[in-house]
Amino acid sequence: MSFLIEELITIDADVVTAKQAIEYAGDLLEKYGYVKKGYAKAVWEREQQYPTGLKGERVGFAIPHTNPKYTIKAGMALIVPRQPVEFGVMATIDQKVNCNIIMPLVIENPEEQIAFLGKIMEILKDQSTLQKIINAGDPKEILKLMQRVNQ
Amino acid sequence: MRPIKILSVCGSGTVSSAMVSKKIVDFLKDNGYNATTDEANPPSLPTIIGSQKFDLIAATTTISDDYGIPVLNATSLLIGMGEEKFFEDLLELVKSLDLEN
Repeated sequence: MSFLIEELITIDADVVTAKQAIEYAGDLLEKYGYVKKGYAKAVWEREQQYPTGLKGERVGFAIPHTNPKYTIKAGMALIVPRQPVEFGVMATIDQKVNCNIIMPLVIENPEEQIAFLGKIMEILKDQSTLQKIINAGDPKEILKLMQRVNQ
Repeated sequence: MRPIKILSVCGSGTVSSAMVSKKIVDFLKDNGYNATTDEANPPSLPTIIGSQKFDLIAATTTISDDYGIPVLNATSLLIGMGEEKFFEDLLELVKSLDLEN
């Protein structure tokens, strides 16, 4: 499985806003054949109405996504921004969370991918793993920490 | 005892709601209840609620209208944090349901 490949992991990303993070990821995902043109626009539009920020214990993360219309193959990008990026909090109207990890998702078949999402969440539940991801000096390190999603 | 009918709602009506549905069904099964779930996004809510009777809504998005059905915020199920509170509230709600009819 190649849900997450090294080329789709970026550390110290120079993105400041949620829109920039999504557009940046969209370009990458398109480049590596995961999504069609229009993915980033759709994800951003959806994000404004249905935010995807989630507050972990000490860390914020976001899982922007859209419906499978733009999917070529299932996968995800992982961005650790240089500075935390503000996203709206899921299921709230105007709460915000600063996100240290942004994971744009590319969904093909929601039922099949529950396991995939579950694995991501399992990994992110562990505080020390989260910190290692945020502080990683190389995308390879992050790929190793996240390898369970590819199994 | 009839199955509990749950409607999971998320922004796209696919991803988050599917995850949430599974966790809820598994939990309820462990507690001796059967449950069925449907997934919806906010725009299709009025239609789906009009056509079926649900016992509760589990949402990972804001639901603006009052459909007269209890709504539980299910985002804690997505991140796997604070789940205990969600399940406590869920169980309390379920116990108040009339499952013989």
